Amino acid sequence: MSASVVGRAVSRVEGVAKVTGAARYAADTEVTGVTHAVLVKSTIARGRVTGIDTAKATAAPGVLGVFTHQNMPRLTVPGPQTMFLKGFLPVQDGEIRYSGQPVAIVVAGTLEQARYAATLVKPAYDAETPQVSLAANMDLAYLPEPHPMSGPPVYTRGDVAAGLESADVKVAAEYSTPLQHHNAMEPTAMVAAWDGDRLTVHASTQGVGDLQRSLMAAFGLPGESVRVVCPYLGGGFGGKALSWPEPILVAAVARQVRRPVKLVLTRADSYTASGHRAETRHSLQVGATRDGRLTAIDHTLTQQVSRTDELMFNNPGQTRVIYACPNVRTTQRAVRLDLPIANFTRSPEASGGHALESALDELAYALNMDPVELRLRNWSATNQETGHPHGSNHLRECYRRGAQRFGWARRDPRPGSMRDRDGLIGWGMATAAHASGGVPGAGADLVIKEDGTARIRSATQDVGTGTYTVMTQIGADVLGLPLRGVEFALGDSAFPRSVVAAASTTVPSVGEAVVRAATQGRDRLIALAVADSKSPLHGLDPKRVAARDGHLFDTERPSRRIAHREVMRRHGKPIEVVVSPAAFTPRRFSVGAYFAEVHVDPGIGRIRLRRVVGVFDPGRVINPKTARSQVIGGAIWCVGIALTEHTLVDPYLGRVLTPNLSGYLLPVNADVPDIEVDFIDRPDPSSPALGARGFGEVPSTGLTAAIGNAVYHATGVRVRDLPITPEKVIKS
Amino acid sequence: MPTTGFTYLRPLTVADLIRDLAEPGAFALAGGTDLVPLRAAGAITPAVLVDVKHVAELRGVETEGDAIRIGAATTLADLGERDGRSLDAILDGAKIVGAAQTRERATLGGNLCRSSPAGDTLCGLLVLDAVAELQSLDGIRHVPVRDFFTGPSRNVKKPSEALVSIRVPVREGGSAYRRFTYRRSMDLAVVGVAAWLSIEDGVCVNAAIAIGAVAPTPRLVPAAAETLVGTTCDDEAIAHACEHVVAASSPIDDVRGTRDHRLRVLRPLTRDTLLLALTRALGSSPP
Ligand SMILES: Cc1cc2nc3c(=O)[nH]c(=O)nc-3n(C[C@H](O)[C@H](O)[C@H](O)COP(=O)(O)OP(=O)(O)OC[C@H]3O[C@@H](n4cnc5c(N)ncnc54)[C@H](O)[C@@H]3O)c2cc1C
Repeated sequence: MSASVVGRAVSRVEGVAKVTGAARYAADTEVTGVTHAVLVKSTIARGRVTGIDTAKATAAPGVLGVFTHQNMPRLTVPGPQTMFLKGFLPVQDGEIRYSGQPVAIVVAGTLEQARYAATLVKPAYDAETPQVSLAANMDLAYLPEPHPMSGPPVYTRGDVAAGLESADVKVAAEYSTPLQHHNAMEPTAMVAAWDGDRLTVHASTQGVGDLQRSLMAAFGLPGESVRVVCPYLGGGFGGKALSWPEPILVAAVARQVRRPVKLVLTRADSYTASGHRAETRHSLQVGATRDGRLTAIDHTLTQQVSRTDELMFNNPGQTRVIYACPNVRTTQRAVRLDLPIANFTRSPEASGGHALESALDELAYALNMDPVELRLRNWSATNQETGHPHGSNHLRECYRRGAQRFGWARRDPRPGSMRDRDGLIGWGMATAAHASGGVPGAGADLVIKEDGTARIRSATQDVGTGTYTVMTQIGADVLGLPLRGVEFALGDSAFPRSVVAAASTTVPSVGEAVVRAATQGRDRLIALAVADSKSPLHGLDPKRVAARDGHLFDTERPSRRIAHREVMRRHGKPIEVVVSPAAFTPRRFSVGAYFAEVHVDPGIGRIRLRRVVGVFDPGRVINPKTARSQVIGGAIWCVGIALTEHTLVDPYLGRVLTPNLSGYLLPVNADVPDIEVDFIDRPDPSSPALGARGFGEVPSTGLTAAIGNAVYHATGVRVRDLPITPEKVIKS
Repeated sequence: MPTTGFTYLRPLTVADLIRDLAEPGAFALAGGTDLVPLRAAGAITPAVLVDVKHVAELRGVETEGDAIRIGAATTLADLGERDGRSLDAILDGAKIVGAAQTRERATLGGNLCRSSPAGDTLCGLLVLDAVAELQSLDGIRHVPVRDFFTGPSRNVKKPSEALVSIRVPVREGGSAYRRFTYRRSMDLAVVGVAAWLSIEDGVCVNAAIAIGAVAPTPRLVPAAAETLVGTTCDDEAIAHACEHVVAASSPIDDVRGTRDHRLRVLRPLTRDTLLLALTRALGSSPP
């Protein structure tokens, strides 16, 4: 009898479809009569449109419509409950809030015609000087109103001043992280088609349900009239997690031209259309006793917000939650700038965690204590923010196992003490941590068909994390079916409601729904089997019956069994189950430890990452293969954030100067060494999803600090401003 | 943004090639790795694209007398597969342009005609004293690469001229090219340095040093090379050469890097490049 499919390194169930091209992404959608939209974007960052000459564009070949704020239909701005957070819809008024804001939409029969006509649209502007520099505007920082998505503007426990006062050793430091972009492989694409008053939108989105609700709000339509479909995503990383204006604008112009309209954003568009990680400044004060126990942490995080929202997605959550410390204050301040709205980027907690984990390394040096030891001494079994115990927390085991695999014991802590033939070697470590869950649950439906196979559906997304695969595994495990006996479908707003695929919540929310639906389905199957006089299980107490390998069997005499297929054939009709969303999924933290080795060429400051070891505790590992891939991806993002990524904005014009993959330096394969990954893999008893917690964003936290700490260890230079470029290493 | 269509021509002989290039608005199309993005960005609007890749004289590498003749449309991937010491500084550059896919298309002639200050084969062409063979309906001329560049992305070639080949004299000595980039691959040189050293009985008898991405064009630094001649290329001589290299550079701040850091990198990079060229000149295998 085979073991459960849960915990097995199963390959992606949609992998073949993806590599053969059978998988249809939003831009691949084929709709008869489709026409093409191109956006005309503002070249100023602040001011207003005083007029737009559209005559030439309108007369250009193939053009079906040129839409500006003067002739665009009036649309209702959707509320934040639909995850539309921008606060305004472009092309509704002449006001310009950032460079790259759409000011007109051209629709034509072919993409080439639309692109050409878009060059003929001539807006005139009344431009004002934009403010885009956080550094230059720090004196405008203020405390915004509390918002559930931002975390508390001010959080206090204990007495921070007294805690710092009583400390034997203190560290005070400022850290900063630049503007960064998600850079998903697939720029956002969409096709909108009307059939009378019914609207169907194929779009690259992490939340079909939210996008559907934003379209309903914009057009005043009921839910049954709007359908959003997205079976596959070429990455999202948060950039597709919000409801953005483009699908609404495209649907609006499709209605005007009475044809389906497709819009595929360009790579350059994605630097203004899909949000970004706001630039941040962190001011940290950390105090500890001589034996390394934290007495206080004071963490002030200042970040950019736009002119039309004040949401703060860089969250110092880790500072509040992870370490045992009686006196903690976190303060979140905002600075309004003439830039697009920010949103969650990869892990939004990465920048706060970077600052904290860098400061702890500085503290370890000030205490003359090993940084692993410092963290072990401050480990906490409870969530320090809520005071409740973590479901489970094997962070200490992560440190120990990681240190061992890495060979940490051989580290000479003195900066500059380790070298090889042509440079300096540095070893650094840091904690990785991210919230998971704590959001409304998801719904799901299940059909067990007459052939004994099952189909489960939920309006969730697979951002590339492996949702298709792990939900199939969970469903198969509970139903006692082989993997191929279960099909999991997602990415359609017509399926039972789910939350946006973000914030490391898909396994706890959707996984929970799949467990519930599958459990109900299996119990109904068992009920049929024990009620059926011709079944070998007839008359048994249902509790004695279990499901495995496509069969129901008597747990006390496993040879007494009947195939799912047989039960269903005799039943003659499908079993259908619908489960509605759980009110809430428990808020948990998943954790890990990263260890990194860098090599620094002291002549030119060139930093090479040589080795990374990451050990994680995500509760039970549903699929070691997809979990490992998640770590590799997260680690790569950290390498970029630590060493090369930085969106440059022209300080006078407010324009992004690096709107492409040649100017915005993501790490390439050659920059990334093998990432050695390990999991503690012990179920979290509090998890409603077979012991698994959310894990998606955890690996994209922590490694940035581990790298920075390693650079310090190599060189004695503490670069507190990301990215850690050769320039900054040498200059200091 | 491309706004107009274009005619595509595929000549098979040099005679047809230069006739086609005489058309108004004609551009030579080699690998297209520069031309296609430039056209998409609206920087150029070719009316006629003349594909140079199917003319036999423009493909392949041959020894002709005391020179190596490289057809202008030879791809960097083809070049990279050669191992002949005499082209080292060019091959070092050819092997690191873009990614494998880029190098399968990109040509040496394209890199030269694009004349980017950061072009990775250009410093090598300079130190190895390469000569460009240009042909048009007006005839043939041979322009040393040292006289080829006139400014960023500018050169002496007329639009109607085809670059047919590049000749590199076969000489004693060792050469090398190294660049500084932020990424380990798929990045453009922030600073590049090439060197060629000819060593007899442990003494440098001839030398050339060229710098890239730190001046409006890739350029030779004769003063730096001269300080090495007559020395054993010891630390002191190399340090002198580095001073001349820095003095000859005029880097700018741009999105890729700052003037300050370019200046900082120039010295150690020149030193590393000279040491690699020296090792090669002395015949031992590079480290
Ligand atoms: C992803 C990517 C990465 C890159 N990385 C690098 C890099 O690391 N280093 C680097 O130096 N460059 C790099 N480049 C730029 C480019 O690949 C090189 O400059 C390449 O050598 C150009 O060659 P090509 O054959 O593609 O030229 P094309 O694009 O075909 O032509 C370039 C120019 O030269 C002219 N031309 C070409 N051949 C002839 C000829 N025989 N006669 C007359 N005129 C001619 C064309 O008309 C055009 O103006 C990169 C480009 C890309 C797309």
